[in-house]
Amino acid sequence: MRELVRTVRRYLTWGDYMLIALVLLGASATIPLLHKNAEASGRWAIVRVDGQIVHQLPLAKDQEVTVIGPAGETVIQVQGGRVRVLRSPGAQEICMRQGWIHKPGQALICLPNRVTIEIPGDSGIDAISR
Amino acid sequence: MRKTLSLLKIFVFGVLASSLVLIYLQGRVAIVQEEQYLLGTYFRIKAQSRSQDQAHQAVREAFAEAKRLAEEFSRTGTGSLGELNRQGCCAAVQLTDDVLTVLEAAQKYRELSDGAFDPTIGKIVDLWGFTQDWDRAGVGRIPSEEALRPLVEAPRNILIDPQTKTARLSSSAVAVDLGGIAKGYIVDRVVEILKKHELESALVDAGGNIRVFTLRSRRVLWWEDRRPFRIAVQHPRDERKIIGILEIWGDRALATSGDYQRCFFADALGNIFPCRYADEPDKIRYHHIMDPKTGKPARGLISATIVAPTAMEADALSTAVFVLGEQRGLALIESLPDVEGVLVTEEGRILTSSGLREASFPTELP
Repeated sequence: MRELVRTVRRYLTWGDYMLIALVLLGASATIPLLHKNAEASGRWAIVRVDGQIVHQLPLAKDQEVTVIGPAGETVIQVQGGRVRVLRSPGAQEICMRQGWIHKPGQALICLPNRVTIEIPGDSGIDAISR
Repeated sequence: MRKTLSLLKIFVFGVLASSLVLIYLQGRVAIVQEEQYLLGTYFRIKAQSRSQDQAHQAVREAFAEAKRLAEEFSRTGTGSLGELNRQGCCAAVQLTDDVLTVLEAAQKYRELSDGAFDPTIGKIVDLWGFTQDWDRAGVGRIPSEEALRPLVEAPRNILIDPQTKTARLSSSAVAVDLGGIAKGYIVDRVVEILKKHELESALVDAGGNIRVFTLRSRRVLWWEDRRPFRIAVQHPRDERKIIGILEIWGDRALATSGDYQRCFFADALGNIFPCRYADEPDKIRYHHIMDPKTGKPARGLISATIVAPTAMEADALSTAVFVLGEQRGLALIESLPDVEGVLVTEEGRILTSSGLREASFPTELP
């Protein structure tokens, strides 16, 4: 065994050691990235009606989208990388009053019309007790 | 010799590369999140597992159970609770095990809270217009004293017979409303199902009625996310704000009762205005959490958040504490093991129970 180690050591060049070190370093640096779904994070607004995805709106593109829920029409506006609800049925108007959202993990919920708009990603908050 | 060594070199690199790939695969955690509209709210389940299939299967089964129970606990639905209310006074109705369990628990919390939590006030809540389809109307009405008094003064009881699994209502003034406890029970049952699957962790959120669990016994590799669940507490006067964050390890539940959830405003002329988080100048807020002793919205607190071992306990206690108010509410929290709370008073003071002193809550509404 010692003989083997000695032979290997003699045979491996300085470059080989560097290469091994680089591969290890590079690999360990990318490991945490694997655990984040980085693709969608913060760049899209996912619109659901009754839990079903009906739109995936890129935040980079300004537009207005109308979706139909059980209580009527919900109008969603994307502008300057932010998204808000312009109109939605329901006397409480919670989702309109929440205003603009733009950060990953933020969401608007228009409950009477069963519409949700979510910017996927991790905001550091998992849920809100309300 | 050189050839063997160069083969050896390839071999060493090969082992290195494939072990890295294995570590990658081992460490990967699948997150499955789904939401459905149930019980008049958004029901969200998030499951983390090493196996995507396992997580999907768990969430599917959990939603099936939640749907079944939602019908079971509908006040007016086809379940045995609906039947009990339709029968009205005095006829015994056969109950399913789920409804029986929750009715018995509701009675327990009624006694524990000295009547502050009361499952028999369905008719009083109706009189104010806070019915199940309230979300669509968004406003209620102020009932007359004459209409309210007989419902408040009548002895209201649910007579349960655990032997025959039946129950009957003591008078026609009673309608059973398990709104302050059934959602919590359903969340607990859903968590039970999720726990049967090999999940790393899971979060169940029924419109702010939350339970989370993390299985910490499993060996966790160093790069894995080992942060606790972070649950925010809603600011009762601003839908865009939170008043603080609670960090939850292990298995805990949270529920909040607030006067902003279902409410309406009335002005001096008796005009009714829709519910808002923010107060309206020159208008009085009327909300859905009734003080059973007066038949009117409980005053003193504007929000009560409870952290407890089960979602049913958190759900029932948040209502009870809201009605009991600052001092008696805090006393109830402190008297119970493993129960903590965050209360907000009418004047905007924020109070935390002894176990949450480290949590960084402000002492006044921001």
